[in-house]
Amino acid sequence: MRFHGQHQRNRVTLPDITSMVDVVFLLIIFFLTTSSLVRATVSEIDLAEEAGNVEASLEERGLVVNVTPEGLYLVEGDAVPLDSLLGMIAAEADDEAGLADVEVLVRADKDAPLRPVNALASGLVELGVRDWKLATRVPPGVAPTASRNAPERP
Amino acid sequence: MDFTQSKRSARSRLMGGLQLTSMVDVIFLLLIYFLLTTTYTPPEARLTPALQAERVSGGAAADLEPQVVHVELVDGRPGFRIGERVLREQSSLRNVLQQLPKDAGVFVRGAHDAPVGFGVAALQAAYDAGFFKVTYVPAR
Repeated sequence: MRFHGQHQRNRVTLPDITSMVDVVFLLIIFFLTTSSLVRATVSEIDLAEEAGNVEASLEERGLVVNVTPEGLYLVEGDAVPLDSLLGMIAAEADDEAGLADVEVLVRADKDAPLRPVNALASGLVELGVRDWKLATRVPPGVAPTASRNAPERP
Repeated sequence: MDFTQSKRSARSRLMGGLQLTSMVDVIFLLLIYFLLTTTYTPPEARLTPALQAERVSGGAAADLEPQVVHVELVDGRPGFRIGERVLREQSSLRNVLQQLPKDAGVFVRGAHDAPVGFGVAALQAAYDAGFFKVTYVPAR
């Protein structure tokens, strides 16, 4: 008769849900926090529908500048005047590489006039920033252009 | 005598601490919450034209004169102009650019009052036509 031993084995296998619930709630808090940050960085902009010449990367560095249909610059959800924006871009410069490594992604609304984009582009030229990208929305049914090569710099 | 019933009840009494029903309820509620609150982000791509300031031309012309696509309002409507030729459609611009030599590259100059969509369309047409040296020149 070994009833006692069996009872002990069953008691040992009881799982503790408390720690699992803790982990689940920590994950929920993490995802809630990070998703709101992503939303603040990338504003809802109606981009031009083009296939582009390079794919968007998930690990894009640099500054994301959104341009609204009214011509306002939005950085992380806040409207920023051009002077301050250029100051922010200049502040991104590395001590060693300078502004050569600064990347600027411009997400401009397709219905916005080119005036704010031109003003920003002229400011980037004056600062010495050459690495800029224009965001497009991949049209439905069109594969992102992974096969295309990035253009050579003149 | 039904020993199986007594065995099952004894086991459930021992394992009774684990209530999966409430856990499944919570998980489904969370799933529904995330499904409702998640916003679908359409896939994006990038255009990477070079950047150059507009210069007032003076002196001798270069050996290879680059083609310039002007994006501007023509008769009150946005369009593309190459020399005297005015094009309204991106496909027409692409066809014209395909016939041009590629070595000199192409410059896209966007006027202030033209919409961004047309500037982006001109850049895309240049890449689609086979140009590798595509430069955006902001209007002064």
